[in-house]
Amino acid sequence: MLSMRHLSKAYYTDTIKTQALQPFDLSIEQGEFVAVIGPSGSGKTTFLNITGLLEDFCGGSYELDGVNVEKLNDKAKSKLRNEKVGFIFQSFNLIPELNLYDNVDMPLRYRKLSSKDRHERIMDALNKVGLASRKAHYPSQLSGGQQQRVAIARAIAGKPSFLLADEPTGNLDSKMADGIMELLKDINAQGTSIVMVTHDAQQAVKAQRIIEIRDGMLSERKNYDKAIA
Amino acid sequence: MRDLLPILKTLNKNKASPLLLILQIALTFTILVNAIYMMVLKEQELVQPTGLAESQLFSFRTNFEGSDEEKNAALDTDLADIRALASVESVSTITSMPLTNWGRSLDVGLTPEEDERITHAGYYGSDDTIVDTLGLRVVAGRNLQHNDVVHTYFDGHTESASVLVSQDLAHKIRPNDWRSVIGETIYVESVPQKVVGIVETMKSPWRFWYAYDMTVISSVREHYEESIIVVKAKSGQREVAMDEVRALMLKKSGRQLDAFKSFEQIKTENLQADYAVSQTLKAVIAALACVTMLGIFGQARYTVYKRRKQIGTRRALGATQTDILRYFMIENAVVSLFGITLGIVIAITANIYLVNYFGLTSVPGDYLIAGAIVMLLAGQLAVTYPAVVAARVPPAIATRTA
Repeated sequence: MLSMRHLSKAYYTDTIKTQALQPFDLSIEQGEFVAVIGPSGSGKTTFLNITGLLEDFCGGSYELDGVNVEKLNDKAKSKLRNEKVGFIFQSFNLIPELNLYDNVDMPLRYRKLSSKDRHERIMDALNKVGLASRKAHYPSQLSGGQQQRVAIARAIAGKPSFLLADEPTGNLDSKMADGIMELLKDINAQGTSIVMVTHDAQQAVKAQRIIEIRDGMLSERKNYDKAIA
Repeated sequence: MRDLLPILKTLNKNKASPLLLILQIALTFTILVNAIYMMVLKEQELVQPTGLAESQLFSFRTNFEGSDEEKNAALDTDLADIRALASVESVSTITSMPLTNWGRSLDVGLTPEEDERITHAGYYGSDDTIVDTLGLRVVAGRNLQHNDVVHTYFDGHTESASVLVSQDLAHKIRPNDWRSVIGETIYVESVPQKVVGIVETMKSPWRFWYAYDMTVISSVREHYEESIIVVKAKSGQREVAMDEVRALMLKKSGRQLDAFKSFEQIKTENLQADYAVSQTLKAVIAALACVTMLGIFGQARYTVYKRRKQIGTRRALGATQTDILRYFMIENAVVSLFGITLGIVIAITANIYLVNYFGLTSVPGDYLIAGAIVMLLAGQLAVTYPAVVAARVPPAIATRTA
């Protein structure tokens, strides 16, 4: 589903080259739940941005569902993001002026879908996160956990190949965080792959695979032990 | 138009700043449309033809002394001497000139009764040469003839004689059949005058006056101590004619010349203040348009800045750069249309008030439509740069916190 070969990323300023990610290989198969861990500044966000087509990479290749993304223009990349990736952000990134229904609708509006089709997807997604009855409410009327559920509904309504979650529980207390993790596991159980960036080891162990990034180096961790946390 | 509904919902949820912009656009629209209309009216007034052979004319005042007969004879001599110059086509004496703000305004009616007056009109006394000298066009009836001419020292309007009237005056007297005024006796300041002809255009000395277009040219020639002489030079020879006439007149002993001016000079002096008003209006209109465009620009810049994260999120979730650009352009168009609609309502309401209470002419519909289109385009122009900035917000901003 997702295949990266010798992928690397460096940032350049006038005089300094900063190697954010050393060349690495990584494959993620359909249905996997992968946690990406690492301390702040290790390159987690860079990895996430490249995986989600938000940033370009410097070397190597990246295939998403068989599409080589390297040469795509902005329009094609936007379309691919819209159809293949379901984003979940740490701070939810809901649009405060729109109610829950319209928030979930937002990415769907960038596709050619009939309004009936959109309506079904929105209601289905809101039902899955348990907020269908509050579809006319605004984000400010919800708790943090509920807002993140709306964001998850927005991510899954587009029926993406995988969810890309950036510290999805980072702004939540542990009880709400557990609820969100349960929801993500349910979604994963139904066949949607999940790539979750986190620095919370407790949440990371709930994933099948753990990838650690340290100083720009990616490494797979088998039998991840809780001592690291 | 898939963005339209979310845009309307967003504006509805967050009314304060778009509302201010809507008000600004509405007021600007109202003021702009009215100011442009005023300016156009003013400009039309400035280029309005006087009906005279403007480029060939010049006039001056000169003094006469002695008895009644001596003054009249001296005037005749002057006119004959000037007419004899090779550069001169025609010359006359007249009691005043159009656009000089100096002359006689008199009542005009079809009876001698003062309270049955039809209008006022500007009065000019001259002779049978005046139509040729000024370059007027007789459109009905006949020109003044030599045997119509009556000579008097001053206040020629107290004498009965043959007169020409301007077409506008004829129309005012007989709105349904202006030609029928020919042969009628009209009463000018209660003195009967026989209308023998109608000239196409002849203006009063006062441009701001309601009866500017209405004039009477009488065949009573005056030879006052200070008379006005108007000269029509041969085509293209006015400079030469002015020099020759000045030299000729100054050779005569005891002669003074005053207000020796080409007709363009008279016109320019008369129009100067209005010209300045018109230029000021233009500057005000331009400044106002700029202020509003800057307002739209500033508001859009601020909105884009405030919504950077949201724009990044939209980009991350699949919006292309074009989608973002279009979003801001449509948002501006929606706000502009609300503003323009409100502006049209204000303009029409204000117009009804101005027309009813001040007798001003109302702004025609064309101006409202043209103003609406211009405001919409100006809004789109002002929002283009901020929208481009918005489109360039990188999607990666969505994953950066706060």
